[in-house]
Amino acid sequence: MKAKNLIPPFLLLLTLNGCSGKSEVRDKGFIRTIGADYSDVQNISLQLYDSDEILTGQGSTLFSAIADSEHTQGKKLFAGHLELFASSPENIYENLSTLLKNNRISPSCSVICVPENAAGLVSESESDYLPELIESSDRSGLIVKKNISSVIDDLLGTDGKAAVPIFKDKEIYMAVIDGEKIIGVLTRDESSGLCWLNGGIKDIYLPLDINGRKVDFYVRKSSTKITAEKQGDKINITAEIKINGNAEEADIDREAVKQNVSEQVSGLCAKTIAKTVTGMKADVFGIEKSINARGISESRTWEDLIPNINFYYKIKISE
Amino acid sequence: MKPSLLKNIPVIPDLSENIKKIKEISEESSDVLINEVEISGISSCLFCCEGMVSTSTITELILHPLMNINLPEKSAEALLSHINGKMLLSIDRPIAYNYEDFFRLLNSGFALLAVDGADYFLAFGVQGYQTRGINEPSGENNLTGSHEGFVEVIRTNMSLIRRKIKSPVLVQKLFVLGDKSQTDLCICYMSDRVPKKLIKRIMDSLNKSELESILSTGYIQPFIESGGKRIFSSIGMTERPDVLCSKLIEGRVAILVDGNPYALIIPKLVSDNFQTVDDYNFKPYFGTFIRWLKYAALFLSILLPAFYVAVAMHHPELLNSTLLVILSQSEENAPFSIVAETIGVLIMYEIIKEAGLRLPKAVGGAVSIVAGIIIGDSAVQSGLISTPLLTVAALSVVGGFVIPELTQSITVLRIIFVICGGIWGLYGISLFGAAVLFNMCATEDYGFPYTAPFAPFIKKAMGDTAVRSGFRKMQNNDFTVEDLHEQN
Amino acid sequence: MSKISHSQLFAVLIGIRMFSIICSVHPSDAGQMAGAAISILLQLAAAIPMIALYRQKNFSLKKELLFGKFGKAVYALFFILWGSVSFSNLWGVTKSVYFPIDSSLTGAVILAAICIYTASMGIKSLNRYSTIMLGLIFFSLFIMILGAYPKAELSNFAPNADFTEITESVIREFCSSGELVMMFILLEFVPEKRSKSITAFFTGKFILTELVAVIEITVLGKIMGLSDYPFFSAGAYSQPFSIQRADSLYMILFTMLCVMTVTLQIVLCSMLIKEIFPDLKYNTLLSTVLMLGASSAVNILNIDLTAITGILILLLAVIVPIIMYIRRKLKHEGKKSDSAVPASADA
Repeated sequence: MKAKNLIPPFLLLLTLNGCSGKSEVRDKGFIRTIGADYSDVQNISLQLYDSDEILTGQGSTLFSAIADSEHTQGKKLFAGHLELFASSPENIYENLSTLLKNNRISPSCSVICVPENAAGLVSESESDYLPELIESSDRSGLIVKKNISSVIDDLLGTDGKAAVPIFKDKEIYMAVIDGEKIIGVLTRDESSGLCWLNGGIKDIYLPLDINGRKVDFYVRKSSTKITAEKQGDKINITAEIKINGNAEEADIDREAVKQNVSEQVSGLCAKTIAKTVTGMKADVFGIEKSINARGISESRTWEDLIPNINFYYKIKISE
Repeated sequence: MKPSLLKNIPVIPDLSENIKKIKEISEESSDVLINEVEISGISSCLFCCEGMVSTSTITELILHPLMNINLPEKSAEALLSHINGKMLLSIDRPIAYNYEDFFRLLNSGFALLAVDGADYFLAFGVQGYQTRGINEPSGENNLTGSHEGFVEVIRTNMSLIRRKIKSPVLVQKLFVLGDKSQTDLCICYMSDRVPKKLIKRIMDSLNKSELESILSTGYIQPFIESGGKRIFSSIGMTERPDVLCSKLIEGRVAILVDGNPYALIIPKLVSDNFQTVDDYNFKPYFGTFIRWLKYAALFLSILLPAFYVAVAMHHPELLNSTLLVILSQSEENAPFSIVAETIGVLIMYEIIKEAGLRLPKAVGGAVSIVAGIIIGDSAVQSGLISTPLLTVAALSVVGGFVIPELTQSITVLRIIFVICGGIWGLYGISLFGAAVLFNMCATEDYGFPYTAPFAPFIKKAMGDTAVRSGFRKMQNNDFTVEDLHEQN
Repeated sequence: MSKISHSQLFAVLIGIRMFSIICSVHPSDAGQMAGAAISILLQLAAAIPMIALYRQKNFSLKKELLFGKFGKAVYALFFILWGSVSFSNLWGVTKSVYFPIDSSLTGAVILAAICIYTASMGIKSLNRYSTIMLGLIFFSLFIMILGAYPKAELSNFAPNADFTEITESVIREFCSSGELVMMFILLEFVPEKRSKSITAFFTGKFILTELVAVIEITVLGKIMGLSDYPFFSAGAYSQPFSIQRADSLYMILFTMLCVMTVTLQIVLCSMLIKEIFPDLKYNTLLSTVLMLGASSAVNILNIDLTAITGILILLLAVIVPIIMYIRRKLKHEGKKSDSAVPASADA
């Protein structure tokens, strides 16, 4: 029998056998959320797409814990569509870089820090709860939504710190972490200031008090540009925030509204900077990048540099 | 006796011997009519083939005038020179000096006159066989162009071309091929645009064939195509005179085959598959849009099922979560592997298509209903096939309908790509894709690359390939396929 | 061998270059960008003897003494080496980026089988294929730029680079420019507009290198340090939807360019082997097996070929053309003076 005569039956065999044992889509479980706690070993809880079942697993590494959780059901787990990674602060950097290096995780996967029992939080909440909470808080300008790539990018900075959303006391805030622990948690105002400094706030209402009258200022869109300038020993960092919006009430002094918005936003930013940059020595809104982008060569360590940075705010409001 | 040997048997100046010879060669075939008669006192015979001649024409224009001849000199030479020189009995009057010519003319619908004492036959074009009328081509429909299509009679087809190009530089040369079928073929070209060398090469290729019969264009195609195992055909086919004329004007060569309503076009380029007559009647922007739609349809029809399989099995991260959930749910209860399922659906479609094509029209409709409603619907409902897969297969098949000329290649490639995608994912698709592209790039005939004008890139030709420029722009382009010729 | 048009030479060389860019494991930064720019400028200068050589009347590489059997063997060896580098790149990518094959060796063997088939189609089809690849490169980059635009942060670009960094980058860039040797051999088959083709290639190479570097830097930022293959990571980060990862799509470009690169090495290598040993059969198969073998050895023994390829590129694409040029010049001068003597004697 000629060798080429064997090709059709061989191909038929391959196709009917599902191509040399490759797993079919129905044999895969697609992970939606992971909650991971680290104390000597990784304890994880998983939520899958299109399933109410909660899987749990344990292992020395994140992926061995995921493999462990596979035993409880028949499907091969696939983390490529991970929507949210809730992690305890311990070992967070290692977990995130492992996930990213796996090369099949979407870089847009959200990250949230849970100080205690992240696995428990994932297993107890509805599958939509945490992703939607992060989404709505980000939309309202309460937190900055962070994904795996941006957190790792921040942690790889000179300061080694990053700002991430944190779920604490059933509320969501921003916190500064260093890859292994929480440095500090920001208040609601400080979190909001961080949102302004990071830019991209849109479609929110800013409550104002104009001469005792309560007024809503509608922020249509905003953008922030951080620029650095060297002046002798000092480095001047300017946050230029452009806000497009208007007061909802028509019969109001526009200049007073602008003044009020400007004061309120710069006040929030100042609070954030005082807490994060000055207090925690953390670069949470791209100070280092703006210095580097200007080509300013700096030999001082980050800790030495911080006292020599002056912050300025330029708030530009347009209707 | 082999027809080619008849060439060596000359006509002799003895009528009874000639009649005997004809009877012997034709073994007294019933359709060979032999009418012995005396014309102007000389024994003569009129031969014709039953059903091939028009009875009224032969009676009125040949028999009647011949019977009225009364010459003073009773010799064959005087009679034939009188008929040939003083009477115009028909406008097509070839002379047969041997039996090969005799039988070719006889079987082509000529009436042949033999006179005792003459060593040749006088033929009269009195064809009158039944032919199909000029209809709209069934395979190349269009909205706004001409509705004429080629028919089976080569001379009618030649006239259809001539009616559209009246220039004397349009050359249509008839020749005969096929030992037994003695089929008339016609090579058409514009003498000012096609190098003589090319015509000679094509004719040499054709003469190399030792075919006994040529019943269709497919018989001669392999002889004019370059060798090697090529996936795509580099010889075009059309049943539209207007399409053929546009190709001739671009400097291409056409071959018509008697008995076949399709003309062969040399060379064919990949871009030809995406051009239709309607493109030139639409506004240029719409023509360009349609053309790009066809390019997209080609990729869709070949690669969509393979991508579906590759993504579902190997690269689910390429899908967004919503699509993934839909896919995962639909495949949940399917009993076969996704590759087997896809190949099964595609093969099922091919079977249904073949059934619909070969059956009578009335039954063909029933096949569509059975296939579409009963098989399709019940297969999905029973969980044998998933709905997204059926959608993908249907989209792919419909995409293939947009480029009917590539159906053969698309059908086979589609299935091989599915297998590659199933085994090695996008890696397999890319590897096989590279092999197919190389094969396509290697396809060329007479120095015209099939992939031209894309590869090699010819900017001048982009006006009618990448886009469809307006005629104001194209009229000054003066483009001929000779611009695409690649030297070795 | 068939003739190659100047535009086809440009497409072939750009395709080979793009494959090197995709397979680059070095993170992009300002130093790398500056180094690449300087290196390309130096390569252009180094190509001048090559251009000058081919501009000479009646010059043919085949007739040159240096291109005897030994010379041909050295060039063939380079192509085997470069082919093995391409296979090694495939192995590297299969390990770092998700590849749907069970083992890297299987992947390489399938690729080799396809390349034997594509090489059998000849250089003509490779030239045409390269034109299509050029379109695919532009299309892929266009898609990448579209996806990268919303994610790109210009502040990731720090225009700081020290001298050592730039020097290293210049050398690294030169060592990855195997296309210079291919260019030297292929120019023999280009009948016209050679200088135009070379200038266009270096311009294109500069634009491609810098463009990809800008995309990688602005999209990846500091994460670039974590990624094994920055081009694929940039592809993954430049995807349009939130929970999705599109880098597998760039696998198509990678694979198709890999086929093209290996095919060219096989075609050139088997052509030279045939010239050295005219009676030897199965040159294509032999070349492919040698490439696969060399690649396996390099991987098993963990050899870094950068220095070796660098030296070979310098020798085969710069020094050899210079020597040839000088030799021809001297010969020409000698002929001139020989013909001048009898003329003066007559006078």
